Amino acid sequence: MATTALTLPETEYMLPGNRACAGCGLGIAFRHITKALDGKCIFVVPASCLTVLGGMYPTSSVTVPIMNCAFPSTAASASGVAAGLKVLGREDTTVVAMAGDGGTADIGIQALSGAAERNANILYICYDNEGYMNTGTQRSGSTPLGAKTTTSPALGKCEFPKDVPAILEAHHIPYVATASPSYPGDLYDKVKKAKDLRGTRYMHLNAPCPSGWQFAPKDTVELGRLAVETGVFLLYEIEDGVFRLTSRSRALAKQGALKPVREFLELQGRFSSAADAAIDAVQEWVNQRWKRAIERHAE
Amino acid sequence: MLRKNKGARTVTTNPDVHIITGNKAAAEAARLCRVQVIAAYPITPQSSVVENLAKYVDSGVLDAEFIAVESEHSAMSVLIGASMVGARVFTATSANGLAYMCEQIHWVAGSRLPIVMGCVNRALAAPWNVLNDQQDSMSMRDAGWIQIFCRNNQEILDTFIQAFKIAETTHLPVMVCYDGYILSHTVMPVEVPTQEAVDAFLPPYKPHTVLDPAAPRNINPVTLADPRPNADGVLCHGYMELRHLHHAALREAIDTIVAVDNEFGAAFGRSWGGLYWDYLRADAEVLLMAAGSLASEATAAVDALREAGVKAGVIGLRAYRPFPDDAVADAVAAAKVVVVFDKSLSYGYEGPICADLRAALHGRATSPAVHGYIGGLGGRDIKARELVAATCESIEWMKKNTGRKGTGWVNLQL
Amino acid sequence: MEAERKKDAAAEEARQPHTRACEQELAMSWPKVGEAGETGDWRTVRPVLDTSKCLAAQRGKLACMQCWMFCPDAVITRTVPPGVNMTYCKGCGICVEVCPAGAITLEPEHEHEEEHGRDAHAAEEQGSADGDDQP
Repeated sequence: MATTALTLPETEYMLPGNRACAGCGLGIAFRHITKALDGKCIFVVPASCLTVLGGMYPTSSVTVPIMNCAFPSTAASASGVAAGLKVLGREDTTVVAMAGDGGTADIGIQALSGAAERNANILYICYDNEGYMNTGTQRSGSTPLGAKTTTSPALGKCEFPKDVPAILEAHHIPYVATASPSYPGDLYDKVKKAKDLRGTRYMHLNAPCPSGWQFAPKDTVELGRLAVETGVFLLYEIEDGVFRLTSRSRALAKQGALKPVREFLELQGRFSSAADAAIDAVQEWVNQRWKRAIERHAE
Repeated sequence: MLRKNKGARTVTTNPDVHIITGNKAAAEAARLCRVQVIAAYPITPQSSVVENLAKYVDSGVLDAEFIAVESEHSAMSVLIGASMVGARVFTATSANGLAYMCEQIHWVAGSRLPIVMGCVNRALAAPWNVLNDQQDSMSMRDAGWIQIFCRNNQEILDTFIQAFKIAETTHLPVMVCYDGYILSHTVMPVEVPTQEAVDAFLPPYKPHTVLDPAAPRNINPVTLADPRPNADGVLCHGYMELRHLHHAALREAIDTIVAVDNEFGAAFGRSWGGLYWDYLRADAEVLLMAAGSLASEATAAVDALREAGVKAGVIGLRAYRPFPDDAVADAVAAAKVVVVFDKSLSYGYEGPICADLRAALHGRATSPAVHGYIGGLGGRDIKARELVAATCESIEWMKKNTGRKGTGWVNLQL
Repeated sequence: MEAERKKDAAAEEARQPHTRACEQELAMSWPKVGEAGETGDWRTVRPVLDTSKCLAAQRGKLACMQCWMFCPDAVITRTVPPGVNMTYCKGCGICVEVCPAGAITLEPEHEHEEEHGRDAHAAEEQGSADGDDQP
């Protein structure tokens, strides 16, 4: 039975009055991740928007422990925490490495690959807001084609984003999943499932960012939904190598059709001057991925 | 084959004395200290330290998590995580490995984690060179770690045991430095203490940074320059206050290093001089100063100088950070000249030990001249006779000149 | 003379803020509501709930709760009807968009200046009284 608004636990582990931007997609995600973990977790966080959300010394806006770590080190630092807990007999605490897409796809990928290859006992969650939003919206390896950033200011990014979940899948880890704060029940259920597994579990979250993507803060959830409904972001999980679409993506695969990507892109200022050719390229990229996903999907 | 080990026992029937390399001595020390998490990445000439530890863990001799990481940066990251939850941790590295983990070297110190690491001193690239000098650890001088240099394999083993005690007392990381190949790969007789003796000397680590959902602390968040109040209205440190406390802890560690060495001496019958050691210093007019195995070599040079009628002695620097300025300045006060041999270089200035000694002596009513020499870079051999020649050059220079002598280079063939 | 100087020094020390009561040697934070201050100050618009449309309020039991679930700041209560903590609500307007009944509207903050810091129910009454709560 999928979790809904009425069955999500009430307890909060993120406090009001934090430093995150209004309408931050990460805020929604963080609430439901911590609910799924029942607060029995240690977060390992590199420089990122979550650092900002977590607050400045000597006060914290979350009621779970956080170990801040160096930007490239998230997965390694987390695997150290896991090793420390193991030798101290405290393995009932879930170690969650949580980083942005820059900290995951770019500077943190070596440590992440190493930890995944060792099957370190960590849950790694990448919240992908598709750029270095905390430092002022620079391009990352996860920024989509056509998106303007402060380091791809005129033409928009000219390359497709890295498929990080696919990279992690190639490490043969027990669990790979994607999720979105716009589908909190699906996110919650996946974190709960991941929590009970051992070894490296990887989750990739789509995290709409009002300031970086340039849309109104009220539209965060709508943008997350459109990302899924246009197929730009697919909700799926890969458990022991078996690929399944989940939640809204699964429903769309069963019946109905994806919306044109244009409907998702045109709500965002970062695509405002994207050429038709770029939008067509994104549409083709989506079509190919969707085709492969449907082929792979196991009921 | 025994070299550079003045005074060591060469014949023994004591079953606890093993003929081992410096790297083996380091691994034995880590085992005896019951390290709980080891992170390992290979680099010459350190590799056999962690290879030995891997054997101990695989064979069940040591109950620890052995994590073979994909880089030195991750090695130190693993240790940070494990130490932060309260485990006793260990790794070793050299040269470019140390440089690669540089960011984390600073992170460890700022986190006040009692991590102990071996730095098997090796020359930094470019160009590639796997042999010994001390540029690697010297380049981490200002990261906020305690740095202790060893002169032989027994001192390596003993210093690692001391290092955990110093680190866990001061909440400061300790880098135990010893010369690549000259010590790391040279066998010497080393007395390996019993587990019981080490357990009695080094109690289990009581962490000060426990990460626990029951006490949800957020460790090392963004910290502003100015103090800010906490939820109870208590004004908490700004970044600068934390830095001051860190620095003060390092200065206080000067006493801790001496105290722990004395305590070790009482427990094991061996101590290593604390901050520095000396040889024929009492009446010396000329003091040769260096860190690590080169200081041992200097004792042979001093013997030769004494035979030639020069009242020479040796100061072997053990603690480089914190720099034992007062202790060393007092120790050299009666000499006419201190000839400092650095196996590293602060490019554009002079040898770092030489520069620090000069600063320590500045402003004293009477102080010896300080002459600096650079030598042994990239594994260039330094023989006792070359130390003698450099010392004689300094003495001759003093006869003809006053003021400050420029940096000399030992056996430079340019 | 010396005693006076000491007294002056002590008085000066008392005036100068210091962190000597802080026992930490590394940066370790503890949780605090309002870590970033009263973030309600960030708002330019505020959510106003029309209980006559709210599904939970209508049914008189826990229902829907989309506004609670999607709030990125955890300032909406899981109650009947849901309440908004106006001290910390940043006014993003997500609750307005996710409400399936169109029961929440955004109103300019300056129309509610006198209520700043008061909680949702007060705001909601104000909204109803103004008759300006149609979606």
